[in-house]
Amino acid sequence: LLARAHERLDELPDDLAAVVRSRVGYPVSRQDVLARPAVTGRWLVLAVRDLTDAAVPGRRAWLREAVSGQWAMLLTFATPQGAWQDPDAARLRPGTEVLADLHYYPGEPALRAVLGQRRDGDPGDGRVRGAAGDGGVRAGDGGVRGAAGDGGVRGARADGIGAMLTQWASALEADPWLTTWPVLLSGTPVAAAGEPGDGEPGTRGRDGGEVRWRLADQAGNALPLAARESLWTLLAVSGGQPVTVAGEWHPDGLVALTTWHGEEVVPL
Amino acid sequence: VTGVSFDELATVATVGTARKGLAVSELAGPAAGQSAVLDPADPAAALLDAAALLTVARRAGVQPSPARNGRDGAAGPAAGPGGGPARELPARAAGLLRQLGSGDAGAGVTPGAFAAADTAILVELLTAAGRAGYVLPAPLLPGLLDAAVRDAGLRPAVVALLGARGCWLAGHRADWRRAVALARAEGTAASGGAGNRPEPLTAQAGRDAWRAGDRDERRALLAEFRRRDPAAGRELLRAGWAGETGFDRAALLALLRHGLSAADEDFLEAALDDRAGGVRDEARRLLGWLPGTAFGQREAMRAAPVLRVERHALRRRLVVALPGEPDAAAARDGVPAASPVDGIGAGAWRLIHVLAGAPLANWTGRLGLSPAELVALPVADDRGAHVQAAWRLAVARQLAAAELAGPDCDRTGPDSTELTAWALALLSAGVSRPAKWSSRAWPDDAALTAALPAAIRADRAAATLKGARPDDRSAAYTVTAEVTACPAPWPPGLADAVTGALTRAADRPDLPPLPRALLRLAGRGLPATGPRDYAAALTRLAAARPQDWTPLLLAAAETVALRRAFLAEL
Repeated sequence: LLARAHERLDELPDDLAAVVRSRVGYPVSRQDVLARPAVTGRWLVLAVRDLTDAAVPGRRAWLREAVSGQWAMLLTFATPQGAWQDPDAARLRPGTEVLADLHYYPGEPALRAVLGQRRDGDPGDGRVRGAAGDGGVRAGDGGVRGAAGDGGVRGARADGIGAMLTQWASALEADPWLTTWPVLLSGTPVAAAGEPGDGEPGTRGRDGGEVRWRLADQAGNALPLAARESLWTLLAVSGGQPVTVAGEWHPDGLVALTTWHGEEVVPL
Repeated sequence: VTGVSFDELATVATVGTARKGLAVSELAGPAAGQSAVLDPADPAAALLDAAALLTVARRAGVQPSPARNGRDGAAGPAAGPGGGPARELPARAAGLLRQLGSGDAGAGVTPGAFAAADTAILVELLTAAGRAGYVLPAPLLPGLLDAAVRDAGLRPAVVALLGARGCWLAGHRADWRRAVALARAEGTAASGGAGNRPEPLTAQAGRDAWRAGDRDERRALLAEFRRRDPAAGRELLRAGWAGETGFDRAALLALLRHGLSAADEDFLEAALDDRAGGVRDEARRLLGWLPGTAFGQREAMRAAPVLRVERHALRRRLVVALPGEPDAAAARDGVPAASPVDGIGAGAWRLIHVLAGAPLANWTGRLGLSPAELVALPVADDRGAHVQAAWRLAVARQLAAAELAGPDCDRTGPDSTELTAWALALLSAGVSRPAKWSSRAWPDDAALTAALPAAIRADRAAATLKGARPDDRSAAYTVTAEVTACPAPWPPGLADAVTGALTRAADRPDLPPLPRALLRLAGRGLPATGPRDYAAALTRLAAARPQDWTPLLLAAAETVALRRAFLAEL
C-alpha cells in the first residue's frame, strides 16, 4: 500500500503526501521543521520512553498542551559519541512542563515535533510542577475523582477508552501506517486471567504466575496492557483503584509509561 | 457474497496465488468499500493490497473488551487500620531509599533496583520506618518485594512494611506470595510496624486453608497458629500427623519452635519414635531447647559420669571416661554410633555429643568450679579439644534456646550471666580448632561472641581495635571479624575506636588492610543518630588529608549521611 501510495505521490493531498514521504523515509531537515509555524503553549511532559531495542538508541517524549489537549511527540536519537542529537528534548522528564514553541513535522495527524524557542527562560530540564497541586486529574468520561484520581496532571484531561479509540481510528484514517498513539487514560488495572471464554493459550491463572492485565475505565471498557516489568509498579500504585496512566497505544496493547501516585509522578 | 477475510488471504499467500487461483475482489468488513482499488489483472499485487487494507481496517476497528469488575485484581486492598489509609513514607525518605537502591533518587524503580543495596542498611532504615508507623510507598513496592525474594535477610523488614496495599499486591505473584509466607513463617514479620498484620484468620478459614494450601502456605499458617495459640497449633498438627510425608512432618515439626513450651514435651517425646530420621532429629533439637524435660534429664544423667576432677596435691585436672556403645534408649535420644566429622573417631564424637547434651550449669554445680577455672584445667589423655568442643556446642545450643525464649529479651538474667561467663572463658582459653574438624564439631569464636551481651561485644572489639597495629594482616582479619559481629549501628565507644583507627591511618598514602576493612564496615556501622555526626567527621578527615583512597572515605561518609537524613525524616 505504501509502495502504491508512493507511486502516486503527486496525486495525493499535501498532508497525506507528507505522511507517505516520512513513512518511506524521506529525510526532513530540522531547519525545515523549525521554519514551520510554531505552536506556543504550556506543554506538559506526560511520558518519556527510551527506545533501546533499535539499532540507534532513541528517546521519545510525549507532550500535551495544557489547554488545548493537543499532543506532540519529541523524538531524538543518540549520537555515536553517546550524547543526544537534541539534548533539550532528551532532558525532559515526566511530570515537568515547558513553556515553549513547538514546530510540527509536516503530515497528519500532527504528532512529531521539535522544540523551538523556550518561553519560560529555563534552559534546564523543565520546570518542575509545584507540589501545591491546585488541580487534580479531571478524568474524562468516567469522571473519576475518587481516592486515587485526585492530584496529578494539572490541566490535562484523562480520556476514556472509548474516546481514545475514536481518536486512534481517525488518526489511522489520516495515516494508515501509524502504529503508535499517545494516550492519557484513567482506569483500573484488572487481571484478565480466568475470564470466562478467554481461551487464549499461554495464559494461566493466579498460581501460574502469568496473568494478563487490562486497564478498565469507569465506563466498563478495557484494553490489554502490554506486558512489561513496570506493570507491577502500576499495579502497586493503583492498589486496585482507578489511576491515571499516560502511555502509548499500539495495535497489540497499551504500553503504560507514566502514572501518578497522589502528587508524585511515577515513571514506569 | 461475503468478502475475503484476512485469514483466507493468509492461506492463499502461503499456498501461492498461482496455485490457489483466488482472485481477490471483495473484502470483508469495513474495508469492503475499498475493494475497487484492487487490481484484478495482477492477483499477487491484489493480494498484498488486500492484506494491507484489511490490516488497517482491523487496527482502526479495535473494540474495547468489557471489563469485569470484582474479579481478580479489581478488588483493591481494604483501607488501612482505623479506617484511614496507612501512612506512607514521606517523599524525601522514599527518595533516599530509592537512592540507596539505584544511586539515583529521581530514577524510576527498575527491576534490578535494590540488588546492590546493603542489606544491613536497608533493614536498619526499614525497621526504623516501621517503628515510626510508616508503610512502604506504592511505587517502591515491586522493587523491594523483588529484593525480598532474592535476599532472605531483607524479607522480614520488607514484609513488615507492606501494609494492606503491599499484601494485596504480593498476592498477585507467586514469588512475592512465597516471600511473604516465608517471612511470616520465620515469625519476625509480626514485630514490625503497627497494623501490618493480615486479618486474623477465623478458626474455620484457617482449617480450610490448612487442608487445601500448598506447602509454603501451610507452613506460614502453622507458624501463625503457634504464635497466637500454641496449643491449637499443636493440635492442628497432631490431627493430621499420620497423613503427612516424612519430609513435611520434619518441616512442620520445626515450626513448633514458635511458642515452644513444656506443653509440647509429650508430642515431641512421641516424635522420637518417628520412622523418619529427619523428624527424630528435629524432635531432639526442640527437646534440647526446652528446660526441665525428661529428655534433658536423661542427657544430664548420661553426661554426669563422663567428666570428673582429679586432685593430686595442689594440682587438679579433668579426667574423662568415654561413653560406651549406645544402647537402644541412648540411640533413641540421639547418642551416635558413628562419627560424621573427619578427624574424630566414633568414641570421641560420642564423648563430645554426650558432654554437649548436659546443661553447662551442671558442671559448675557438680564440680564446684567457675567456668573460667573449668576451662583452664588441663585434661587427661589429650582430650582437651574434645571437652572444649563439647562446651562450645553447649554454649551454642543454650544461646539458641535463649533466643527462642524471646529474641528481644536482654541477656542479663542469672542464666545469661552464666552463659556469658562460659563464652568469655572459652574465648580467652585460646584453644584453636584442630585441623580437619568442621564447624559441626567446633562452633567458631563468632558463635561464642554471639552469646555475649552486645555492649561487652562492642567493648571487646573496641579494645582489640585500639591495640591492633594497622599493618598486621592477621590482626586485621580477627578485628574485622569482631567488629562485624557487633550489631550495627555501633555504640559510641566502638564508633569512636573505629574513627580513631581511621584517623591514625589518615597520613598514609597507601591504605593498610585494617583501616581498609574498617572503611567497608563504617558506612553501615557508624551510628546515624545521636549527638556526634560521624558523616561530618569522616568528611572533615577526607578534606584534611586527601589521599588516593579518600573516595572510599567519602563513600562511607555519604552512606552515613544518607542514613542520618532518612532517620531524620521519620
